[in-house]
Order: sequence, then structure tokens, then C-alpha cells
Amino acid sequence: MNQRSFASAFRKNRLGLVGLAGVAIFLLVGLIAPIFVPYPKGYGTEIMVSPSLTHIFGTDGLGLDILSEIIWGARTSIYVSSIAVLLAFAIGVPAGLVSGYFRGVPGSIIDTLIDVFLTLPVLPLIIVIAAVVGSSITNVAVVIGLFSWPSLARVTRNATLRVTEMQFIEAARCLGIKQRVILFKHILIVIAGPILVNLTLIMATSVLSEAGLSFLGLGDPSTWSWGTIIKKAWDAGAIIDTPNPYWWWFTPSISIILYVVCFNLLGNAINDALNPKSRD
Amino acid sequence: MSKNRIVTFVSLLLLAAALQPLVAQKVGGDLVVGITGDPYNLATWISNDLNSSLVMNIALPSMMSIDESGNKVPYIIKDYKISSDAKVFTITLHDLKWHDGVPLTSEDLAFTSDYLVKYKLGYGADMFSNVDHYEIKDAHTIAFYLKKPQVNFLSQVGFWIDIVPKHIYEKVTDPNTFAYNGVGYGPYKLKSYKKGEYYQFERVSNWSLASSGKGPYLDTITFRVYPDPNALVLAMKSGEVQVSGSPLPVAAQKQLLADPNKFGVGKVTSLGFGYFGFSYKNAMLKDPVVRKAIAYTVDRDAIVNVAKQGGAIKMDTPVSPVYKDLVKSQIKYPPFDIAAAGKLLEDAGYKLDSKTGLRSKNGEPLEFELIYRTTTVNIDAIVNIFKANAEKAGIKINLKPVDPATYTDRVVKQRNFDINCIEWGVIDDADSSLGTIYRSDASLNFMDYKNATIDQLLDQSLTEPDYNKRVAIINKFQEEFVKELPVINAWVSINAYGYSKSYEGWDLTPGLYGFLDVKDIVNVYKK
Repeated sequence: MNQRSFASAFRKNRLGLVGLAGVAIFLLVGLIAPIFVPYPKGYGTEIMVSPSLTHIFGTDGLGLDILSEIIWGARTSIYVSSIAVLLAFAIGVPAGLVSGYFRGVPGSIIDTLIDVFLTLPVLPLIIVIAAVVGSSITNVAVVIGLFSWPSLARVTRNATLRVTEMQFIEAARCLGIKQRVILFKHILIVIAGPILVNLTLIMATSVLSEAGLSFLGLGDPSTWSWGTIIKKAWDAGAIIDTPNPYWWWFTPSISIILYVVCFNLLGNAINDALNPKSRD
Repeated sequence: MSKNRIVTFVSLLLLAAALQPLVAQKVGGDLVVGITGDPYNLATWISNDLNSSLVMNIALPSMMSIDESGNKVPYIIKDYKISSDAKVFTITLHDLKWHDGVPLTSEDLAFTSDYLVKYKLGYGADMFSNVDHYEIKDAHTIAFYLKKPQVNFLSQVGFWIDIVPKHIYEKVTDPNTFAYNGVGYGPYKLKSYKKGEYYQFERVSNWSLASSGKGPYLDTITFRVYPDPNALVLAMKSGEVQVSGSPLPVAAQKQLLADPNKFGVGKVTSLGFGYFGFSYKNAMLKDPVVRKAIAYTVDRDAIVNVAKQGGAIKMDTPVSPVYKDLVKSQIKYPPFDIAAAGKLLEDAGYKLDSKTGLRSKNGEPLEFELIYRTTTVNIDAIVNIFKANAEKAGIKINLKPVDPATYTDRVVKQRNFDINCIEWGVIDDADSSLGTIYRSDASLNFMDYKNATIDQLLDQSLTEPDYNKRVAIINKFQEEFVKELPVINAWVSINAYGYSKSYEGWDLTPGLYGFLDVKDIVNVYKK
């Protein structure tokens, strides 16, 4: 498929456009957060004030502006997602390519390894490792990334198996092109679509994992993330308080949902645009 | 016998006969207690862990308890005598049995004294360290002869030390790893438990110190472990738990009070207090200028009003304001003043890097880790207020939230920390007992600080029989303490505990255990 037909197919997918717009907004907000608002720290006098023109998302138990926390949380989400995606890409794609292209013993070993990782109880393991390595946001991101590569490797392997059978790969081999070049140039470009789709899913799920870890107290207590905001609301009893300061826990929750939904919509739309059969 | 006496005697007999069915009617029912955090060890003499003491206080009651006025009163002790020079303490125990049938005797108390000192087990070793020798008078009476006068020997040992079962421990040479089975001498005996989940106790019928010898009312008491007060309150609202063993934050209290027909909340001012402690193992924190500068950054108003949501009172004196006589002198910590903190550090050569906002001296940045237990009520807000103000003065604080077991291991056992933040459960007999936590060689001196003047004053307070003179000594101690600043005390919690109105007989007295204090819980029964 050429770029023009991909773009044309993508544009026809309205949900995909919504997802793309959402992702763009999150990226923009996260990347230029310091320009928008100062880093929320310390404490104020307006404790648990409901949403108003001054504080659009209200304030928390320390009198800090929740919109600022959400904006800085977006930055953390993107950071965590990016690290996780980079790690998953760095491990999963070479593993999948090698496994699918060479098959035989090395392929079987890698395939078995992927199977083993896919059967591991990921969340408990992430919790244990995060508890051991400490609670910096980079550690959390790396731990999530280390457990995100198997699904990407599996997708890459399956796609590589299909492409390796194609005639142009046979031709490349006959021409004596180096295997490294065949793998990382000829095959990788062809299978970029499914990899991209999987990466968008990892972007989404890594934020869910980070929120889960932060809620369990294994996140970075000095960094604003959406999971941390919910954790603080929970610790202060805001979730069960009467009258309930719903804005404190609801806004980070909805941010997580929107972030995940947007990346999923984007991933589905890319998949549809790359796969003519699914468009029908 | 006169006619009047016969009438009185018969009336008493009739009254006793009438009361018997009432006691019988109250017996029965199961109570589930929610606690936040798992007990560190069933053997309370191993660690200074509140959850361990709370859970085991119904099986291993202290020899003395605290009454409504905060005074120590005998409980397991039947009688006592103190010599005029405060050097001989004669203690007679009630006639009780260990849960495995072995009689509780003065031999056990003598063994406890020897054993805690021999194996240097926590504060118990400190409290018995002044014992020169003892004399076992009879099966239940023992006289302790002290090396030097100590006015608070009985109230300290009596309140804090649980008697160690001699018949179990006499062959144990490594008490820290020994798997103690929870055998005690209290109104409830340990039936089963699963670490991290629950601890179930069953009634000891005819336990002589409850209900005129008929024992406690409730058949079983089960402590369930919850990760935080919210989960505990939700469990109370669902009917899974009937009383909170751990204090509840304001939001959780409001949840229960929203249903006044089903739940009540009892409040009592804590005999302990919250503080920030400095480890002198950290070279920068050993510098008094740094400690004083940090003291200037503690905003107690914010901690009390914002973080604790009004559920505490300010503490700006070394001794808790609960002990009114001891704080009349108004000897206070440095007030909240960020500018003063900055100036103090600047003058001492801690230069501010305008880019990072961090101060440093000789290339060493003022950067510390603040360790705290995640289960301390409102702790996240407290440490964030502390961090924000310290950073305004150019001191970076890295937060280190940990679970209670890790905290005990890092702070209490290893003493491997920079700054810690936690609440003492009870600091009692403040006119004579502060040496337990503030003497240089005290086992609870996690800070590892040394100050000969403070030691001397605390020793004097321990031996001075006259109360007014002790107050004067404690005032001198406070003057020295606010110069030394090994810890910064900040707040006194108003502890609140929720309870179900399906049960009656609740009573709340100052102390460690809320409604679960053994002398109170034996009177609780199911409606």
C-alpha cells in the first residue's frame, strides 16, 4: 500500500481521527506543560475547592490546582509510555524478526521465551520488581517496558514468517544481500504496520500499569502522574468523603480512560487503513 | 450478727444471684476489629511495633493500664509497694494462668527482667537495666532492688512490659527468630492467625479480672488487616468489621457519622505525638545548623489544619502539651520561618545554587531522604508540606514511603535513614521517663545522637522524688533539647476510632489501643 492510499483510508475513519486528535492533544499538553502551568507543589489555602473559573478542575486536599496536576500527569504518562515503547521496540522487534526469519533452533528458543513471558503473571511481577528497584518514575517505566515486549515480539514474528516466504525476499537472498539488511530494511519496512498498531497499544497499557503501580504506592511520590493523584485522593479519604470531592479522583480517572481510548482508536484506525480486508 | 448485717448480707447474695443471668446473657458473639498494617511479631518484646502490641494486648495485658485521667493503675498487678527512696519495688501479681495451663508466677516476671536485659530486647532491656537484683517473696510477689533511685520504675515496667513466659522461653537462645505461639495470660487466647490477613482470639472463660471472675463477654475477637483506613471504613460499612483498632482520619470518621444509627466515633487526645527525626549518621544532619534550619521550615499550622484536617493539635514544645505542667515554661522549637532558615544556612556556608534552588557546602548538596510508613494517618500530606517548605529553604527532600515492616527494619533495626517521620503511640510519665527515648544510650534513640547534659538531666528526672523539682529539671532539659534538636516534634493527634452500635459497653481511655484496650474490651458485648 502506498502512503496516499493509507492516508486516504485513515481519513475516512472518523473514530481514528478522533483518536489521533486526542493523542495529539495529550502529546502537546504533556510536552509543553511547563509553559501552561507551574509545577504544582507545596500547599495552599483553598482546600478541596470544587471546580470553578479559577480552578477548572477544583483543588485537592493540599489546596493544589488539579488541572495543573493533570497537565503534569500527562507529561509523566507520555514519558512512561515512551520509555516502555522504546524498550518494547528494542527487545521485541529484533526478537520477533530473528525468530520469524531464521526459525530453526534460534527461532524456537526465542519463540519459547516469548511464550514463557506471555504466560507470566505480569502485574504481580511488575509490583515485586518495582518494589525492589525503587520508586523513581524511570524505574517504573523501565519495569513496564521490560514486560511489554513479548506481545510485540509475537506480532513481529508472525508478520516476519509471512513476509519471509515472499518472492522479493528470496530474490534478495539470491542477490547476496546481507541478512541484516534483509531483516532490518526489507522485512521491517513491510511489517511496520502491525508493529505500529502494537506500539500504540503498549502506549495505552503502559499508562494503565503506571497508574496501577502508583495507586499501590509503588510509583514515584515526587512526580505527578494520574495514578499518583488518585492515590493521594484515596489516602486522604476523598473517595469515601462526605460531601464527596469527586473532582479530585474523577478527573485523573477520566484522563486515564481518555488516554487509553484515544491510543486504542488510533491503533485500530491504523490497522484498518493498513489492512484493506478489514475496511470492507 | 446484727439484724442489719443479716439483711445486707442476704441482699448482696440476692443481688449477686440476680446479676449472674445478666452476665450470662451478655456472653457470646464475635467481634471483628479492623487494623491498618500487619503486626511485626507476636512477641511484643522483640520490637516497638504498635500493631503487635495492639493485637497482643488482649492476650498479654500490661501489668498496669491507664485510667480516664491518664494515670497508671494496676491491672495484672494486684498490689504494689514502693520504698520511700524509690529503690525497692515490691510487686504482687494476680493469680492467673498462662493459656497452656501453667500458672503465671513471680518467677515469670523475674525471668522477664533477666531475659530482656540478657538479649538486649528493645526498650524492655532499658527499663530493667537499673535492676540490681530481685527477691522472689512468694509465688506471686517479687521485690526489685534498683541500683539507683528510679521514681517511674513501676509505671514504666508495668505499662510497657508484657511478661515473658518462662516455661517457653527459658531454652530459647535466639528470641529474634523464635516462632512464639502467642501463649499469654489475658482474657483472650490466640486461636489461629495468618500473617498479613487475620489474628483470631477466643474467650478465656472465667478469666478472673473481667465480669467479676466470669471472664470477657465476646466469644471471639478477630483482628483483620487492611491496607489503609479507607478500606477499613468500607469494611465497617459493609458489616465485615465492627470496630476500628487503628485511628481513623477525618474523612473516614465523616463516613461513619453519616449513619449515626449504626456507627459511632470515639475521640481521645493521643498521649504520643508526631515528629521528624534526624539520623546523626548523616554527616550533614549532624551539623546543628542544618537541623535548626530544618526546624525553621516546619509549618505546624499547615500540618494540623491542612494535612490533619483539624484532627490534631500543634506541638511546638519538646514535651507534649497534654502534660500541661511541663509546657508552662513555654520553651519552644524555632518558629516557622523560611527566611530565617535560609539566612542561617547562608551564614554557615551552605550556598544557594540559583539554577537548582538547592544549597550545598564543599560540593555536598543539602539533600535528604525522608522515610515514613504509608499507614500513618494523613502522612502523605504531612510529608509533602514538610518537603515543600524545606525546599523553599534550599534543602531537597526525597520522599521514601515504605510499609510498616520495611520501616521497622530500616529505622528501628538498621538505623539506616536520613530523616524519619512517624508518631509515637504513647510517651507517658513525661516528667520522669523521657530518657526512654531521648537518652543517648536509649534503644529508641534511633537518631544516634549523644548529649551528656541531656543525659544528666534525664537521669536527674528519673531519680528526683519531688514532682515540682522534676518539672524544673524537665524545663532545663527542654532548654537543652531545643538547642540540640535531634527531633522536631510537630503535632499531637486527636485519635478517633469508629465502632458499631450493634455492640455495647464501649469505653475509650487515653493510651495505645483505643476501644481495644484490654480493660475496656472485656466489657463489650453484642446487643
